[in-house]
Amino acid sequence: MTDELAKGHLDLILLSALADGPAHGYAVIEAIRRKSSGAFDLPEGSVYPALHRLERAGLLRSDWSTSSGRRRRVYSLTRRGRAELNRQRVAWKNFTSTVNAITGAGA
Amino acid sequence: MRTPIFEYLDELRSALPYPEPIRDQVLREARDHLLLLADELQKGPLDRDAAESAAVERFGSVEGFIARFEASGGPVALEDPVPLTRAVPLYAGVVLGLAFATVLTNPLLAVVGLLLGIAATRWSVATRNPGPLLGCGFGLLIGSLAVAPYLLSNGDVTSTAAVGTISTVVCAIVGSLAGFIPRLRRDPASLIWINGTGLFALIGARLWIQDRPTLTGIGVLVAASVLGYLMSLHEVGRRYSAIPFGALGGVLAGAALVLTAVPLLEEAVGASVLFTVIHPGVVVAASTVVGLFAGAAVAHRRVT
Repeated sequence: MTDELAKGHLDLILLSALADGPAHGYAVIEAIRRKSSGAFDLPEGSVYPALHRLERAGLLRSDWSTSSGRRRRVYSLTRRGRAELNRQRVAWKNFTSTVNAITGAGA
Repeated sequence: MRTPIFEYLDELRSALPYPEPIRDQVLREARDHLLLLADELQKGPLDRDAAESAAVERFGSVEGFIARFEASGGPVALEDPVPLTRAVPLYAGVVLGLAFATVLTNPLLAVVGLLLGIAATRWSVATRNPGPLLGCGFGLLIGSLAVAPYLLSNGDVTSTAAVGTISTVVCAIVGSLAGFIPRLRRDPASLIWINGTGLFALIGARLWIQDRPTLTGIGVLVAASVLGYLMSLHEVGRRYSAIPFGALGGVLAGAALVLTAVPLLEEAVGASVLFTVIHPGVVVAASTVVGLFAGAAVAHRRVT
């Protein structure tokens, strides 16, 4: 995936990464890297401004969690965030099927 | 010893343009991420220094990190639960003071409650925390509306019952519904205060509705059940569940004391104690405060 494509869909990527449950920033990046087989290649620090922005928008909530003696900030989807994730998934599916139909890429 | 991650965080600390509490939270997230990443990279052929340098490079430059935060509207502060749990006793004291003002109709106690509330502003848990000031203002409003009609009628309880009841019930409803406002829902200090004053406004209304201060066990249980349900819907109920549950437990314990222990005491001493020596509202208020303290202690232990 090119950097521009990843940046443009960072919200969908982050919301999807948190769909399975709460996670801190590093765990979110790990999940994205694992699911993308290493294709996601933006600076890892770029995830934090995006997580904060999504929290400000009410799509995520964060809380302190203690693990291995360290207190970390853990993010999770809110109800609105889950609804937005579903909406963006549908929009992405419709978009890619339309583009595939035009370009013949899905044939 | 200045390692690559230490140098990076030092540079980041100097460059972050945010107030200290938020800046520290951003630094904590960056540090945790870098250390975890370096640990992962060190599992390969890299030594610690090389792993940390690689982690810093993958994390991105300080300028880019800050630019992305600025473009996204800045970081969102996450309240530190420790100051909150320390502030709960002060809030409890304010609630108790206003409860006395409502039950005993002594406006001087409302002033005490206000002073305690102002003292509680020292424990703001975020840079934009409206909780203490909002709570002070709201509590003063409740106390004034409950006390003023009584004072204006020269202490005639009967004639002020309707006004006192309406004002305290309205304040309780407004106070509890205010907890659903998104900004307030994220501020646990506000929610504890609003729900606490809402609880005592409900109890105060129940006292006034009969034209004289009386409190039935059923009334307390109804008020406590409604308030417990409302609080469980709020963020503070999810994050620091020990605090509202402690308060709820205190209310129920107070009601149980009034219904069971006081009659036993009256039987033992052979005289009426309720409303002469012990006011049921005071018992419930005191037990609620004890519950708040206990819940705060439990919440404090869980997060530290």
